[in-house]
Amino acid sequence: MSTHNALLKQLLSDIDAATTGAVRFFAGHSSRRSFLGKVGAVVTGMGAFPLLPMAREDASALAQNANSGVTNAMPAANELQEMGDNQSCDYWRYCAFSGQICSCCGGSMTQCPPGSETASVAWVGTCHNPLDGQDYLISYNDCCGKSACGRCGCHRSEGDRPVYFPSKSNSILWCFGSNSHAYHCTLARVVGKADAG
Amino acid sequence: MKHYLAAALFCVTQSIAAQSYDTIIGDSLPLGVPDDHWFSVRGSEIAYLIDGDEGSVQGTLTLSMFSPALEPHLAAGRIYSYGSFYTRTFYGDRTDVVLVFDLDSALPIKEIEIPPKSAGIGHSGMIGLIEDRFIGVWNITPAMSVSVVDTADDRFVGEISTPGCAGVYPVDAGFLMACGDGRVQYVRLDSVGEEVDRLRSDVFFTVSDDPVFDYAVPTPDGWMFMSLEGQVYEVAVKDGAVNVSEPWSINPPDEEGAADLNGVPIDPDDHWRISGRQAFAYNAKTNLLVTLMHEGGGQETFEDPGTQVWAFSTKTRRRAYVLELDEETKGVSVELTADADPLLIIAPAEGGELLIHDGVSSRLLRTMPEINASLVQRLE
Repeated sequence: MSTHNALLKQLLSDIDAATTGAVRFFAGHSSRRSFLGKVGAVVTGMGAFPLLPMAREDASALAQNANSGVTNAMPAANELQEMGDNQSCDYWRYCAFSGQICSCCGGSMTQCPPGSETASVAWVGTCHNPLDGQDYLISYNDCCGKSACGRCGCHRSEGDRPVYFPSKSNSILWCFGSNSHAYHCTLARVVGKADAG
Repeated sequence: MKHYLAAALFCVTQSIAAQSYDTIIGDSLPLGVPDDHWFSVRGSEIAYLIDGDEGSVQGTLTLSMFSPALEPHLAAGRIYSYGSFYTRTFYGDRTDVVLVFDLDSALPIKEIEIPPKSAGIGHSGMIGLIEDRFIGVWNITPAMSVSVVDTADDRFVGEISTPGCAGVYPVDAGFLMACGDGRVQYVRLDSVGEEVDRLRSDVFFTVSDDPVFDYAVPTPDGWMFMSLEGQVYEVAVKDGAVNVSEPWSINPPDEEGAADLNGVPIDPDDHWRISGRQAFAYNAKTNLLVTLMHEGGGQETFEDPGTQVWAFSTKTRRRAYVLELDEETKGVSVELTADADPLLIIAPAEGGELLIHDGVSSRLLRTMPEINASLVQRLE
């Protein structure tokens, strides 16, 4: 059994039951398998996988670990080559987006507007960046604790699934881990290359 | 003559004076008695209670921003819901409660506190009334569980962990849930509302290939689930097992060169998909299944609004009629009342009018403007 498969097996045995279905889906899909392997390499070393589908309290630290650790070099956000209007629903990062674009509300694609709080858990999508021709894993974190921004509503649904498969469902109020689950807007953070393997 | 005129004028003024004016204080009407054609439509922080025969709002319920569903219990004179409330509306301390509304006054008469985990958005499957006594509320944090409340003494009983499973669909002394591992799970409760055991069906779908909606509709024996590709499954609990029927498709592949009895070619429809927030509804008394449909896209468009309603007989498993919707407003939710003469209610996606059709004939009966709402539920 390859190291990769061993990691997957270890993950499947350790992970909280709430995410079992999600892991199986990831494991069965090549574009996501490498991501899981990457995360697995990091978190297995930490001794505990987060109990939630996509805990992203410190994505940058994860990126550094991933860079130093296993196969999948994750570009820092400022190394990304991208063009287009990030206040438009057509923007490449928003392929699985559902909500209101934070860039229209005083925030950016990666940071919440002033006074709102970033949810520490998110759903994910795999989007194609037309500028470099690569697929990237995008984390859609809600910003919470204020009234809904109400601007730049956007609903696209690449890979969307029902709510019993939470990591790929945008039909959930994703304000988990914040002090209030009042929805304000949504970020679109690039967390890695989807096809790195 | 003068005397007659004076007498007539006196009579008129007296009759006008005899009419009482409205009081300066005012009062409230009682809600009235819901019948088979009443239904509810949920808007933002409000649920409209509507008489479908009149096309009129009979009353409203005030909800929280996080109250996706109602659970009527008309025999007890109650309507249940749940919600989350913050001390400062959008922030502050959070309290989640099951709300108990009085059917006569349409006012909340009780609150039962539950863990602050309830799903803030969703559909009617987020809450269920089990054996007319226990309320189950689906939680997601995103770990999944169900909070149980005993309405006999309005008490929170406990929380049941249900990893990877969604919805509360009551059957006998328990409830069904759709699960990410391709099964339906049945959790059975004891006489005080605590879990006795749980049963699981065989695997009958996969999340990657063709998952079922997390929304289901009641049948006489259990619940009907549908997959994103339009497969129909009926699920029942019998003899200690969760049984899933053999599926049938609402959209089998087109036959090449198919024509009707008159030789007119039948339009191909392979690229039509079921979708919506409440994408289907079922009336058991008439064996009528309706689905919201849109053309094109992949499975991921399963929440998109529909531009047509398709109606099927579940007896013959064939399509009975197609109802075209306004291309501008489309439809996002469908519901059928439960009686033998069902109304078909269609909620618009884009701020249009609520449509009330005859479910069997498809004929438009009436429309209701200014109901800014998206989820329709029976009131039974």
